[in-house]
Amino acid sequence: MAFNSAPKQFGTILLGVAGLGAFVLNLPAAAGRVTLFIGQILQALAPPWYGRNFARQLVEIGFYSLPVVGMTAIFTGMVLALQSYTGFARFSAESAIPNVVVVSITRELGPVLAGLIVAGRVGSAMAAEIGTMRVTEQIDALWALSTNPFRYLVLPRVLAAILVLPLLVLVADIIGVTGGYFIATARLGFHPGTYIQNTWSFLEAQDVISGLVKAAVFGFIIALMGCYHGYKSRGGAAGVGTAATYAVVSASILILISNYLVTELFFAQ
Amino acid sequence: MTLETASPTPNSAPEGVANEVEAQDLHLAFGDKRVLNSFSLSLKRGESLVILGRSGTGKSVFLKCLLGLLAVNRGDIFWRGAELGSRSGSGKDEEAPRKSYAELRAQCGMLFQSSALFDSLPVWENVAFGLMAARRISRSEALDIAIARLEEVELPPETAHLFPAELSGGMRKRVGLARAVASEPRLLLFDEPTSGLDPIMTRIIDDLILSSMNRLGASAITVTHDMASAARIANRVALLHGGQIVWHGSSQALEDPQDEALRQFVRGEAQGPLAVRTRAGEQD
Ligand SMILES: Nc1ncnc2c1ncn2[C@@H]1O[C@H](COP(=O)(O)OP(=O)(O)OP(=O)(O)O)[C@@H](O)[C@H]1O
Ligand SMILES: [Mg+2]
Repeated sequence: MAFNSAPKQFGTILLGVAGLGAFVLNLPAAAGRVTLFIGQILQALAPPWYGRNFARQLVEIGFYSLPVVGMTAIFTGMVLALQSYTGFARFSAESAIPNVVVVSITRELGPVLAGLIVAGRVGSAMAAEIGTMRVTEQIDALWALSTNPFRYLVLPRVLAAILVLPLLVLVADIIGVTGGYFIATARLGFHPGTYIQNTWSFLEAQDVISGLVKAAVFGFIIALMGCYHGYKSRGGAAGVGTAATYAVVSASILILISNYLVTELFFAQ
Repeated sequence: MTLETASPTPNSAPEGVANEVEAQDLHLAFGDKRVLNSFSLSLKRGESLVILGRSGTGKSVFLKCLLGLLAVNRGDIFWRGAELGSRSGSGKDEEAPRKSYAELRAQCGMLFQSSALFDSLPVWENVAFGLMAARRISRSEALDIAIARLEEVELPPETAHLFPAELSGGMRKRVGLARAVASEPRLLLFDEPTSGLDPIMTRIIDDLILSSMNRLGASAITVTHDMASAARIANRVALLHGGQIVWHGSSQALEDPQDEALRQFVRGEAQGPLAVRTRAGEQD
């Protein structure tokens, strides 16, 4: 390497910088490959449709994610009420708690936390499953049997994720707000009727809709990264493991970036 | 499907083209490892060709190139007189007909060396997969056909509802074989169909290959390391070494090989022209 002659401590620092540089230089190529991949998915948007696979993915992504998304949402809502109470009590703004809870959950915490959780649960599973099919030649076998893997494997996953993530987020919103309500009424002495009334009056359609749009975008990102890294994986079990890791990491980062972009789109003046 | 071998159907090659498949001067490298190097081979209509060669010489790679699963760096593959490309239509010069790999795959059945069964599907859906992809048949109809196909490879009907993970290696191979012939293809590609099978089962599979060829009027390329089985199923034998076919001829030659390379291979001698290249840059 070129910086071998540099003093030792510089060498270590430079290694880090070199890694960062390689990452940045690789970004355009990776973006290009993902774009080509999306192109192949779009080309697969034609019959035959694989309804069975689609239904299976709906259940796999949606139904089986309910417990973990629900758990995340309820504790987030509870902690949100508790934290904002201790904070707001300092300047006697406790009455804003229903507002804080409902706005934070519907706009941000519901979609982002559900997205990250589902990325970890489903994105890795997709990458592992498709990656295993790749390294055991099952993808080749699909082509050989006149079946386009983009139509058979990728499209059902992508469509199901786009459709099901908003539903999951809707559930997360309801459970999260309920969690806040429990803590506010049971621990913080709020009057149940007033709390519900305040929540309703602060609830705005735009907050919920922006959260659901985010969820659909996140669903696309999760399925895309899961399928992409799985499809491109090679080199046996280790390759499949790497693919699963990349799928979760890249989906999580893209979720956080796109979360900012969609927020900008909805709420920028 | 009707069985016509003599008179060409609309789907078959123009009059006078007797080759089912022809590979011309294929080159393929993985990085700087050259696997196919000026590889040429033809398969006549209705012929059973066996490809022999040492492990790692590129036999499986060639079969994948033929199906368009791997892209060659250079060279052309013709199917029934038409050059294969990603799309059908006319080729580089307007006259030359072209066919797409999709058209080829629709009439081709392949058994992968690793069987490559879909492990999320039960055995019967594996076997009927090509059928269900090609035609709209009901699932119960597909199940019946799959059970009949499984019987041909001596698998009892109960296996139909097992998953590939519940099968032995040899059973998986047989399911892969049933899947390859299920849609009655005209071109059969078998990558080591009898590896991992007992001698009796090997015999049964050899007979199955021959009978499905006769029944469908199909042509077949089989890769095998089993000399007895090669002698039984082949009309013609080709020996792959150093990225190209170094010898080909009638399967009779297997009994008393005159060619030095073939003799070394058939008798399994350590010394001879098929030595492993130890250093890069040695001649091919
Ligand atoms: N996807 C790949 N990436 C890199 N190299 C590969 C790949 N597939 C095959 N090779 C290399 O190509 C060569 C030929 O492989 P191939 O599988 O065709 O061998 P083979 O003749 O079928 O051997 P065997 O009889 O053991 O099955 C091998 O040396 C292998 O290392
Ligand atoms: Mg092989």
